[in-house]
Amino acid sequence: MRITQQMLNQNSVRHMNQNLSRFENISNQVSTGKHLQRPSDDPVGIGLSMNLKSSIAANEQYGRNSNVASLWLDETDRTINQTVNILHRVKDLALQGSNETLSEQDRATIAGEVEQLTEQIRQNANVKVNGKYLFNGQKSNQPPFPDRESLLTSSFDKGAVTFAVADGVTIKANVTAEELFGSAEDGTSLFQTINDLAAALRTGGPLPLEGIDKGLDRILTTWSGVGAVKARLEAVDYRLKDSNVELQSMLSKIEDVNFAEAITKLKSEESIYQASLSVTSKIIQSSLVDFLR
Amino acid sequence: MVSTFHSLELGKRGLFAGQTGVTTTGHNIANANTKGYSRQQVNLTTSPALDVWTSGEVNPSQLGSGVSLESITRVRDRFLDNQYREQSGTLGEWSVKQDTLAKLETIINEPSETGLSAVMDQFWGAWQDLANDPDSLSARAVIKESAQAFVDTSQFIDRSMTQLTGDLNNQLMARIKDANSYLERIADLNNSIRRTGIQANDLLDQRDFYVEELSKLVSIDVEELSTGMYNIKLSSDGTVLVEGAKLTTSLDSKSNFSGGSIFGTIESIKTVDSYQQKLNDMVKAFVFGEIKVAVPAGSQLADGTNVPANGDMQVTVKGINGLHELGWSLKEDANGNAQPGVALFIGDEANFSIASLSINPTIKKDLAFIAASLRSETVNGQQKVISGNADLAQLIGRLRDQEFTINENSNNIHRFFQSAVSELGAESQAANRSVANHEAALKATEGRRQSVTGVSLDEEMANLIKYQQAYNAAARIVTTTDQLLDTIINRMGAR
Repeated sequence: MRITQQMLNQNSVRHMNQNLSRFENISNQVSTGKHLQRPSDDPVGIGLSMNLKSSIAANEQYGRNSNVASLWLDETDRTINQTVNILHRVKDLALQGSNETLSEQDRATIAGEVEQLTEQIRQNANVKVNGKYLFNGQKSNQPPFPDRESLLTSSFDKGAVTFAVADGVTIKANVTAEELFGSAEDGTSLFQTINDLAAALRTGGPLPLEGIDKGLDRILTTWSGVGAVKARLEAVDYRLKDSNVELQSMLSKIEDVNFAEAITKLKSEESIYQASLSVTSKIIQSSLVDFLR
Repeated sequence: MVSTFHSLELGKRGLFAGQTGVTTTGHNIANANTKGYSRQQVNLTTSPALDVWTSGEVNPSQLGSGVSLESITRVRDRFLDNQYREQSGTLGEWSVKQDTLAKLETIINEPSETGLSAVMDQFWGAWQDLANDPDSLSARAVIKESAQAFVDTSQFIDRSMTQLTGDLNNQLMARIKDANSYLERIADLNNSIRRTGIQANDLLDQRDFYVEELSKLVSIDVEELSTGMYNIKLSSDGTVLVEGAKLTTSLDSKSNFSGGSIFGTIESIKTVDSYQQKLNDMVKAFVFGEIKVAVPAGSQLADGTNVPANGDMQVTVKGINGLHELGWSLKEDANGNAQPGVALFIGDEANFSIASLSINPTIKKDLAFIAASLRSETVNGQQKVISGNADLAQLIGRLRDQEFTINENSNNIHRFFQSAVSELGAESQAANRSVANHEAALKATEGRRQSVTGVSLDEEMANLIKYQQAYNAAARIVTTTDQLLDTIINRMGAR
């Protein structure tokens, strides 16, 4: 084949160009740490990577949701704990009050304390988390028991406060006043029972001991429900974190550069480029013109 | 017996041949880097011989009369020319496509932390944050901002695509204009070649150069006539563009193109258009498309529907706007009645365009118009929202996984966008590969053609020496003949 200077020239320029462009490409990868820069770098990978990123973002959100849910549950747990202690004290007082030897004066004192404890329970029932009333369902901007009179009615809300904590997993993080204290409508109201207790202490009628026990049972059952939800939340949260690690590592496999490989490639591209420069400088300069006198 | 001066004439012809050789070599060297130039060579032949009578033979012998110049021709391979034209057309087409797809990739801006996909993730997240704190105004502010970011990002993509289409249209017009001016020059050169004759090497080179430039723009068929003129036809439908010295048809945007960068530009405009349409359909489905959602039991919707307490109710609504309108906002009217949610986005549903999409100004003015609750109650004759209910915020947050119907395909917004980006990536990758392949093929053809037509300086230098020596030798013939004549004229007679 006949070779002309122009061919050498064009080919050299083209090869230098190609080498430089490969060099640029790999140095880009090394300096950004990403192997996936544009959709055309890996059309299948880009879909996967976008999907993973979106899932990671959703997971982060689920994490935030579950933190809020966990706050509700913790606060509920603490409040119920206190309430149960108070109720134990009420029960003690009721047992004490059932002693036939007590004078009317003593029974009135006990009744007074019971009423004090009722007020404490009311305050507990009106506890707020993050500015929201814990036990008033979805009307969380109003207290379930605004005053003493409301204790004997059922003006509280029964709505659920739910949080989406994983794909398709929604948990109910609140306990309503009804679940805790019963409702006045079906005669299960704890406050009614305590009220009856105080009245019976004062008037000397039969004490509703059984009612107190039922109320306590109800609270304990609800409390264990809270514990179960909390355990479920933790399990979901744990799984979420686990899957996040998995997703991140998959994303990294698709997007990230294998540095050892990339730097080796960078070095080799660099030397190829330099070789093409030096070859070009040798080829282009000479022709027969240089040697004829 | 031949003339005494025969050798002088012979020497002169030799000198002339040598000189032509040197001149042509000079022309080649001077044009070594001229675009489209093909090297020329001097074709010499022996000049007609003279009969001389010799004693030994019956027939006369032939006495050489030196050299004569037969022709000066360019060295060119028609087959390679044809191949080059074809390949450069294909390369022209794919280069434009590749360039357009690369620009689209930049416009789509994926993978990134700021692309449409990330913006949508933030939007869903903002609704879930509102669900965590359903009466918060600051969570509503975040929703407004992320909705604005969604509008801004999709509008930026849409606008950039519109601009790209405009640029491509301008390029198309410019390229068609170029093609027409090449056609004119080819017709002119045809005319010159007819007058000068088919050995007009430099004119032929020029015409081939223009034909090549033209074939990069549009795929053409070239037919060479016996007069040396070219007829040029469109490959697609055989429309005659140049017939001899006449320009018969000018190209315009309605011409039937195939191959070449003009065709590539037309195809690219269609490609940009299809992606823009996809984005448009996607955003339209998001805002207005019919979706089925399960409204939780016990909800009282703003349209008056009461969902029974014993189970969820399937409701069909028109997009995120329709869903939002089901709920109750924090806003109350002058009579103290809670207001239903308003449309989040304002746009023309029948004639949807992303450019005209905006956030409802009512919401921009007052964040309380963003609804999160699906419950309300009547208190003292007034409709009041139950602000701790976050069912609507949760439903909207879950639209992330909601199936929308886009172009008869059911898929969630993210997947739809992902598949569009993947498709773009695959198309762009194919274009890159095509350009690389066609470039390599064209370079190979160009190399082979250069090998035939290109000027080799080494060769020309060797030729220069060859012709110089031939010239010198021919001069010696003249000198020798002169000495012979000197012998006859000065030494023989004068005594």
